[in-house]
Amino acid sequence: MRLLEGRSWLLPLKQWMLYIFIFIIISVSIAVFGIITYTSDNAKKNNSRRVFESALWNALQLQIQSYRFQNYLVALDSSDYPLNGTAFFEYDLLMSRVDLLRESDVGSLIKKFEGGRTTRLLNIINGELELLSFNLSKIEAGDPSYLPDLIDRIQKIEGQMNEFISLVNKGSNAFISNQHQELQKNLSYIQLLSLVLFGCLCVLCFITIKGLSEFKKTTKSNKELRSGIQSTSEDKANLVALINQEIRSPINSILSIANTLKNEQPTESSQELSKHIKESGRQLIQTIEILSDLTLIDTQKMTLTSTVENLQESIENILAIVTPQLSRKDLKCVVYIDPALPEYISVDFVRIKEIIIALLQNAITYTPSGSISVQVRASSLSAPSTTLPTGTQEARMLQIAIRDTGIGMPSQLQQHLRANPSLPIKQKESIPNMMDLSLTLCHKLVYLMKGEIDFSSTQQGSEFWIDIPFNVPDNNAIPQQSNFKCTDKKQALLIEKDAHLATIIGLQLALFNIDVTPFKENSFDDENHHYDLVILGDSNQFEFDKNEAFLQWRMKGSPILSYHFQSIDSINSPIIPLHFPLLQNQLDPIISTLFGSNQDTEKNKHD
Amino acid sequence: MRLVSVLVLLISFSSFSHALDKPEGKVILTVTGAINGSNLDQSAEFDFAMLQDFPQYSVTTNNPWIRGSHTYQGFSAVDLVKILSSESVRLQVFAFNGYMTEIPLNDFVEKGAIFAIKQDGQPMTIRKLGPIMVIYPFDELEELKSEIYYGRSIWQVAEIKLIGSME
Repeated sequence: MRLLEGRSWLLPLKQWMLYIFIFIIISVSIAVFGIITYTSDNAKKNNSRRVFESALWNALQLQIQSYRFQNYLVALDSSDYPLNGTAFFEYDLLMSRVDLLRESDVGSLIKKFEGGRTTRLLNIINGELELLSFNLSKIEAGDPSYLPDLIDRIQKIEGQMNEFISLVNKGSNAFISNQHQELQKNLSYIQLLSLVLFGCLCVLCFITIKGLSEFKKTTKSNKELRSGIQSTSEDKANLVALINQEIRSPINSILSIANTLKNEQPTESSQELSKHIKESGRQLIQTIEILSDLTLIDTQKMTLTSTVENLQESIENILAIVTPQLSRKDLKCVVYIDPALPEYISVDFVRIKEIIIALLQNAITYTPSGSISVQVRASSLSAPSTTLPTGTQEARMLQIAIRDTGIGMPSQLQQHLRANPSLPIKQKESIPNMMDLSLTLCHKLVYLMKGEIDFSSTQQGSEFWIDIPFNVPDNNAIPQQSNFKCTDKKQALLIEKDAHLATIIGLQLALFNIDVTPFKENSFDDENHHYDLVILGDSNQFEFDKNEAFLQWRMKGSPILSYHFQSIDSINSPIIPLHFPLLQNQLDPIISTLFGSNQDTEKNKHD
Repeated sequence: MRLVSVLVLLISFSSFSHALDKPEGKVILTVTGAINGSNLDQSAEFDFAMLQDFPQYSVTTNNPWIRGSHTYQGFSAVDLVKILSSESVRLQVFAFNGYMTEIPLNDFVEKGAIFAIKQDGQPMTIRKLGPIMVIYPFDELEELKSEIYYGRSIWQVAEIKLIGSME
């Protein structure tokens, strides 16, 4: 029945094929029976042919015998007497021929010839010959005077005898011609029946071949289904094992923290532990949600619900969820959202959140130290052609790139990640068994949203690119917002040994019309170079010259921003602190404060 | 059953195996050819009584020449060959009108053919296709209803010539 799913017209067709098969079996039986009957009938006709030949033979034998009798009588002379019954012997031989023609099967046949005229003639001949017995008895008694009259009377019968032979011959020809026609007709019927039989056999062969083919297909399908059932059972077992593995860690974490809290006096660290419990609980809920979503995707029951939201805010909110995990590993995270993208977009933000969290968690796992960046930019791909929902004006693609400076992913995981769950052949593979739950969900969600996912991974880090279609809402549905931007181009010095981090920070500052100069070995040599802003990150080289550098910046009035806590602790200077994840909305008030309201004042001071 | 009865009759026929007598009545059958016993120069003649002395067999059947089913009684060629101490396996049978047909001796063993001399207990006249007629049990064996056996069913038999095995 699975074979017929979605092909309901096949059911009546198969039923019809069964009816045709039964009809053919009956037709073949009838045809065979017909052929046997006609063949048998033909054998009877052969018997008729024998009787016909016998009629002609016996008629001719009658004539011959009459001549013999006549010859015998003519040849009699006086020395032959007494005849001792020889005359009657010859007469009986003749009469036996007449009897044969009248009483045997041959007699029955010739009665039908020429409308019974042959029978009348034969009766006349018989009557005439019977009348000869009187003369014959006289001759047998030794009186030859009756002989001439006897011969004369026999000669007179000759004409009737000839006519009789002619009629039998004519009748026989008509009979055999009729028989021939009937045989021909029967032969035609047999040929027709044979053709019908052949046709039936052909159809039967076709149905048999079709049936065998269908049987083969069904067997194959059954085999696949059995294999599918087996695979599903194995998947189920593996899934349970995976769930066990996934939830064991947060539960163990919760339990151990609970033990610590129980044994310790309330201290400052209690707050941290409480946060940790909250985080583990959230992680547990997230695992359950992922499992639920995976099930929905597998059963094709997951629906995408697009909402119009502020892209930047949404991304930054997502980052806030993983901030505790990032902080615990002291990972630096920066977010850059391309201003070329619409501020508000229509997409399923819930799924976007799940995808980004999955990829960030993956990045956190494989990054023991270093930085992680999230870039959201316009994609070079074209959006799939679909009907635009109401309230939207255009479909476009955006790309989310998540990069880390970690150790790279294991090669086996990379191999499994390359499997496309949207391809049928890959559907059979149990992806959750090969990757962790969140990545599996991410992978499936991207294809469900008609997007694409790609990645690269080396020992210097990994990068994921996700291209997702989104819709641009109508302008009147979007609340307008404007970000701060310096009116004049500003120069900033970025002291950061992590080139990846430095690049993204550079991109962020460019949004505020600030050019970033990365720190180099001779950056302090040019004493005349003025930086409107200094961002102090992590650089071993800088440690050596930092006191002199701070002196220069203070003298030139360059504000200093820093996310490098060691520097902040050691220098007693007015440094504006930055925190990771470094978001655009964190920089926006700082930059606008530094270069917005004081912009004019500062300008005047320079003058 | 037929073979068993033939064997029984052959045993009783042993008393008949003596030198061939001369026919006392009208001769109705002359046997010539490969024979060792004879009552005439190179031939054996039989009258009705002599033929009746042979072990008698009967066949009840329809045939194409006489209307209705009749019981025919007569002797077997096997007995004839035996009394004439012949090793013949084929017979050439001649009718009064000169018609001739060949019959294998085996037909008298396997097919149950007989030389009939009586029809329904009465001697067969010339007009009744007698005095001797070869008859097969057509009603018993369907295979006998063919032109081969119809052709061998000769009537008004006058002479039999026994053909030697080497001829």
